[in-house]
Amino acid sequence: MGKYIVRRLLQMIPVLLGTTFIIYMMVFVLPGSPLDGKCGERPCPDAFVKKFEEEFNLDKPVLLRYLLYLGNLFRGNLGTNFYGNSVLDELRQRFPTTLELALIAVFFIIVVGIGLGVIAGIRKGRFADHLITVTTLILISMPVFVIGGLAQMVFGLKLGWFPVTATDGTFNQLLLPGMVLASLYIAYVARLTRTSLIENLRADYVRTAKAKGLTRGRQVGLHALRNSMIPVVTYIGLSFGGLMGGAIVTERIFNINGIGFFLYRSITQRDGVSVVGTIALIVIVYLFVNLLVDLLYGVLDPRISLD
Amino acid sequence: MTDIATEESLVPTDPAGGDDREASLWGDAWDVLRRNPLFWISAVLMVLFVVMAAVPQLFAPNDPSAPGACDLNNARLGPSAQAWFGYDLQGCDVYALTIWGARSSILVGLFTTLVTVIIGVSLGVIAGYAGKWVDTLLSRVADVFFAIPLLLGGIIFMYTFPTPTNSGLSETALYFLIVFKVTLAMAILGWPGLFRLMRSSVMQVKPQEYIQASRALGGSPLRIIRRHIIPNAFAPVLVVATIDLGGYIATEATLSFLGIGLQDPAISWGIAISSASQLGYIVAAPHMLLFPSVFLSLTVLAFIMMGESLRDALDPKLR
Repeated sequence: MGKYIVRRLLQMIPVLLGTTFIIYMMVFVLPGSPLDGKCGERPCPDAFVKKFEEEFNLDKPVLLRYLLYLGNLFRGNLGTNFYGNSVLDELRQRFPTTLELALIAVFFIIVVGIGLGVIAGIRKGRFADHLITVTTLILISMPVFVIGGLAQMVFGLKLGWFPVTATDGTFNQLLLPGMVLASLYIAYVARLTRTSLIENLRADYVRTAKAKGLTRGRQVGLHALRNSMIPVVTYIGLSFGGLMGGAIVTERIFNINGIGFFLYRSITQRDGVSVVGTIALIVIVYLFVNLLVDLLYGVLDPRISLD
Repeated sequence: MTDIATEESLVPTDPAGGDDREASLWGDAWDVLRRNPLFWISAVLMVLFVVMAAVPQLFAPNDPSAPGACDLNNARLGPSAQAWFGYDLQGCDVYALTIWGARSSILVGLFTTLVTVIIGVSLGVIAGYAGKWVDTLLSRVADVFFAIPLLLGGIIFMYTFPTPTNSGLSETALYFLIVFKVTLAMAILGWPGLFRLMRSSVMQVKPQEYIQASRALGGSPLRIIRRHIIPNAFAPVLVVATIDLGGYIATEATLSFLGIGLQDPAISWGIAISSASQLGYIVAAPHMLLFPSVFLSLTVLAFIMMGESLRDALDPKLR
């Protein structure tokens, strides 16, 4: 296990360097000034250009610049946008709202996604299975902004079951956006759970359990389901990057003042420093979440860490 | 009944008749596909949308971006006999906009898939076949691109290469420039999936006897790759590429929705949905949101469903 952790940590380093390098190259090294059209409608003010050049060491050689940028990134310095606000502070303010939204989404993913998957898996080939398979296929085909718009129209405006917007970010208001954000992953998790459960129900150890005379509930719940959860748990962890992407859309539709909305607003206001800083941070967090999931995977399934 | 057909495809036939077996895999797959209603639904939808993208005049004779096509007097009017899907903010016919919007989505989806298949398959073959440091290097590079979520990477890419405005380019040239940019953004981040698939299938096939035999008989690496390795990995690549195509269409629409993909005056479902999903308009003119949303979702559905039908037919193990 110790060896596995060390190996995973070492593998992480080139990926981390590579991703930050790509983002850096795209923004600062490729032709065109990094400030072109990045200060709203007007050209950047001279004072800001000067400060920007200083902050990102634009007068130094490329590699050194990148290293300095990397150092700043890991010290949490994501730059200052042309409003004079620190991007990290802006994000820190909005982080709790997005976290709450994401947690609500993950709750729905776990409960609804796994629930549907188990129902489909144990009733393979029957009506319930077909219904769930087709419904999830339709859910997967609908981009988040389509589901969001339709949900807002139907459940918010027509039926009035949920608040239409979530400007204050209270739990009540975040419920519908959370479900919208979760919808795609509910579908994926349901399908993954189904496949995984069906595979495990065919395994020898389940037949043994049956031969011992265990009830169907114990065969499924105690034996098959436990092993089926390994890929599902991993998948839920890995969906973090997609959830953050979905949060941009969901928060824009429901007017939630979170990180995603900040990113959307920065895009429309052409606030370059904020866009790049936010995405760089999300990608880094995403990489660390992936690492954690991989380590967890090693704990859940000891076979993984042996090879 | 489908189970019986696929069971047969698993039974190895005479190992000497390599070509026979290949023919029977596709024959069996066709047998399964033919009886799958989802395959027929997605096939019909796919043909419909591709025709719509190629010749929108067939469905809606008037180009909605032509001058004088929209009448502000009609703004936000609901569906009627003249305009089945109603009118949008500018008084454009939503039906015509929706039909003509298919082109952007299909173009971006097809181009992106084409580029990812070319990059992913060729690099995958090289990595799997060459092994050693070439494999290590390519795999690490793929890891890096794999680690950036598609939408977030797409935003950064589209954002840092702003499209030149008032650069004297014609509208058509500008349109293709943006399509090209969106394609490039997604292709750069999208190839590692196919790369990994191809690499592992090459590594699986490479030590097999028939490859050894081909090599012993003096077959060049190029011949071995062309005659043995590519045909072997064709089925899974086809499946994954088809499903990915649906995903690229959805991502393009999301980028346009966020205002950094295709932009006015280009016609695209993402732009239409974006302008329709302002809160006031959802109440006043829900048809503006509904129809492009349905078309977009059906297109994505068609490709994903086709990919899944192909997978079920070609690889019974994955079912």
